[in-house]
Amino acid sequence: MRLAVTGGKGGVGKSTVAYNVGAALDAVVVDADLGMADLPPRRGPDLHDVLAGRASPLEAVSEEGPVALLPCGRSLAGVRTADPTALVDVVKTVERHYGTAVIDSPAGLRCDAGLALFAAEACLLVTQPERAALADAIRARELARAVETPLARIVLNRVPVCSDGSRLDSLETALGGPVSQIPDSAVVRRAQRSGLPVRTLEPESPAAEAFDSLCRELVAALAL
Amino acid sequence: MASLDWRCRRVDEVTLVELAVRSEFDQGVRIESQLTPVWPPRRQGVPAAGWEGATFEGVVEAGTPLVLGYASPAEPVEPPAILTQTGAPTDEAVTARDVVRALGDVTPPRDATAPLPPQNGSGHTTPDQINSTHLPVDQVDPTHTASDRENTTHTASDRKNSTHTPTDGTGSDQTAPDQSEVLHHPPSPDTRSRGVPDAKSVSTETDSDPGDADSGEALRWFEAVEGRLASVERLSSASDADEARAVLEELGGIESARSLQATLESDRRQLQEVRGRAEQLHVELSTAEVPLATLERIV
Repeated sequence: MRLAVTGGKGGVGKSTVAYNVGAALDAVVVDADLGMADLPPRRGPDLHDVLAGRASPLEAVSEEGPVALLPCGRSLAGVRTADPTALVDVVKTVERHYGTAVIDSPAGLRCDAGLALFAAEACLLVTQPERAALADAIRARELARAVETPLARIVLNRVPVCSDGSRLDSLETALGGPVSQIPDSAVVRRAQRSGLPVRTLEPESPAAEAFDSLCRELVAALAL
Repeated sequence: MASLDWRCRRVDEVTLVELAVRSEFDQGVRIESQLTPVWPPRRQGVPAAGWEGATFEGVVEAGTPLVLGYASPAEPVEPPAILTQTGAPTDEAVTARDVVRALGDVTPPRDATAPLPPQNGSGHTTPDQINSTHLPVDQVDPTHTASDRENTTHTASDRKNSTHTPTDGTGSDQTAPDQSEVLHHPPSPDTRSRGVPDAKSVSTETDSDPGDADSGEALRWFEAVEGRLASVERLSSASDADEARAVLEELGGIESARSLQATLESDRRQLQEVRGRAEQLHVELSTAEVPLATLERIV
């Protein structure tokens, strides 16, 4: 299975969701944010090298951390040498070898975001309960439709504890998919700072349970 | 039945080819250029829809000519392209290139990356040298690109500080901040030594004990790498937390350690480049010989 984590707006938690979903699904997370990678760097070749033909996809996958990762380079020169269209074959190769690839998509609606969706068989749409994020999520949803990548679930991230969930129905209607909620939590931020999945840091926390629940729903929906 | 008309023009050693395909009914066509390589029109940096190498595939509609234009450095031939009919048009699947064409290329402009370093004063530039601007920023001689690297570094630094912390606390961000003090790159093997020296520069180089300045610079870099490895060894061999803290303090704190890790990663890549270049030079040197006997006869 090839799953893209997208959302349109930057900073809504796409990388966090991709990392934690990747951990729960025992997948390889592909950091496809060619210009502004957020996931932890690793030693060895990265996605820039792979997309430029300097390394094979499998030799760039690092299994040294808590989550298998195909990291992305940080240099602008690296972006210039990369052929973004090669991402599709890269992700398929990773999927063939490891079973599941989770693509952390870049923000925006340009070709890099489109290709991450195009390379996937289904997508997760991450957003936050605020107007700007929801507006961008609608645009990202349209982009997914345009490249014919079905929406697996919507992830409403950083939901305040006091939220009563009364507007979930309208969100599901607007975006055309079922919603999973991840609570706003210091544990998530702490896990992010430590470069760990939430389930590793505090498996009993509400956030860890929310990610596990999201993944159970994904497994059921995608027949993983 | 589809027909093909063409016109070729030669401009500045480039052949411009104009093709018009006409048909009485809708049908798919394949056009193979007899001139290679083909420089197809591009949209958002990728070849226009239908182009793959020297071949174009598309649909010609009844009554509306399908017009194509492309360029090639090859001399004109007659005909410049061959038309093949591929039957009734079918709905083509979307490709990755279609996505780029539709949504726009995101490649940063060349100006955003490191500029070309001076090339041995020869004034000549080879395609390899042009490609050398594609090297990661940290592989280009920092003495020529300090200000640009600084600008790039700020971006990476801001992002890094605001959005992520490396898993193991030892980031290997290639453009990590504060590298200027610890980076002592050798001249990049791809960005130097590949100049096409003119007669004057050959003369200058042979007159002035070739390689002295270069080898001195390279040796300084090797020594700097050895120094960095010694620092790593000291950090790794600390037997307790107090000792580790003391060594860390001496080396400039945790940020310096992170920068050191990033620099080591850069060193590793740089060494791979140097090794590849050295092996290539070794092969070339094993067969290189100045034709002295001939030269002595003609002077």
